[in-house]
Amino acid sequence: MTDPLQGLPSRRRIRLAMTLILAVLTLVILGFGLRAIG
Amino acid sequence: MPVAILIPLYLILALLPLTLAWAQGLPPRSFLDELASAAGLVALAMILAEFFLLGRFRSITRRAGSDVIMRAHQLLARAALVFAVLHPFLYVSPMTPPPVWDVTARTAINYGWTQMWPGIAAWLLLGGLVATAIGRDIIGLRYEGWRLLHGLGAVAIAGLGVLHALRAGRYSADPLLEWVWIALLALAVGALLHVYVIAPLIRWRRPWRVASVIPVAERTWAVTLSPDFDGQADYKAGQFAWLNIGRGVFSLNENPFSIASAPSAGRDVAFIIKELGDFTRTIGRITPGTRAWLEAPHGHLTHEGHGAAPGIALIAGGVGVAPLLGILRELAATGDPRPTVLLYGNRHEGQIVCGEELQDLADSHGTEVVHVLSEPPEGWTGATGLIDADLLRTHFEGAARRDWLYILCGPPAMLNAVEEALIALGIPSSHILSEQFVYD
Repeated sequence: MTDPLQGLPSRRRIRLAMTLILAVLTLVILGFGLRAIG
Repeated sequence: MPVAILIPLYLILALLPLTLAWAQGLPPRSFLDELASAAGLVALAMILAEFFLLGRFRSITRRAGSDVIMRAHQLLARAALVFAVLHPFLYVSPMTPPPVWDVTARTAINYGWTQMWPGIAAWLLLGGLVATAIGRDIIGLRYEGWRLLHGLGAVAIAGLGVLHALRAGRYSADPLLEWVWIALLALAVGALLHVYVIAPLIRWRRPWRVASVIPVAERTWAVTLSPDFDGQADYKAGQFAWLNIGRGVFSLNENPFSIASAPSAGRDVAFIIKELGDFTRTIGRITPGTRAWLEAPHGHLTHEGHGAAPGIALIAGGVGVAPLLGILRELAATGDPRPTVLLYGNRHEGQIVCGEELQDLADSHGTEVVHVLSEPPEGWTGATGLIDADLLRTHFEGAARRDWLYILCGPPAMLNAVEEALIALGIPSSHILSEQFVYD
């Protein structure tokens, strides 16, 4: 398994990892809320 | 296993309560009510996950480095705060006891002082905890006082948050989720107890004493410790330790310092410490014989495990030379034949640490030592300015040095610039190791 964060400086790797985590968390929270509509 | 595995592991932990809530199949309330519950569930799970991102668990830090984990701890705490702040304001259903027929509490928020006060207390404390962590220097809190406050505050927030979820939560009333919250809380508090109680108890049987404190540069000291027990510290050259000098084994007054000695050189462990603030201001006044405690090893800044690299480049700024000195000493002690270059940046000549020893290493081990001064004295014939892209190109451009191992330690701005420049030269980021102790 290769590291998808390779090729980036560590600062950008942290930023990318944080963006990814927060995006997934936000999407799942929104999905939970959208059950009320769907 | 690559460092990226930590991301899905974190997501599983942070989303576990919400996933279990989803699986309950309760009839949803309004969009905003459901959003509010989801934000609360995720915020609390993130708060509990913070206890595992203390930078002290080797199974985590050896993959990403303690500095990266601590940075993640800071950023994720701020994100948890955002979700927690939103949580109470998103609810739109009336805050009254649900009617008797509404067994799933679909039409009203389970409101009452008993249910709400733990949540309100945790909510207020969380804001205070994040604010004091960000503004510690501005407020002027002493490091050890802040650590105590931070640890106790975190436990209080976790406990109150879980209590609030169990008493007020629509989804957390489910027995499975109830037990998951209790288990996560127990694990979180257990993690903290491990760091501050169990690990010190183990350390108690391995006391150290200060053997010498010697000035090695302007406001910079070499502190050597000798073990007062049979055995020695288990570490690799370049790693760091949490060091506590002259305090009790349970003292919170411990700081991370890079080890500058070579593991194969003997049982003594040496540190290079610069007077920067708090504890380090008093370092020159420490007397030999003083009791010390070591929590080691930590960090991933080491050449060991990278035996395939045909050469090693060490790039240091200021006192960041400490772990690199440990690596150079180890390379020399073990007779490692690989070519080695040290680029060492300082403001002026008086800040060069162990200058004579570096010269000896250059002569005996063949290390190419390049001093770079931003404020050079008259007659200085070495490199001047900063360790920048041009200097790095001069020394490391070309296919021959692309597969070398690059080990960096210094101030954040320097590390970021050097890392970017090395990647621009075609060095794969997997060949670059860096570590910083200032996270912001």
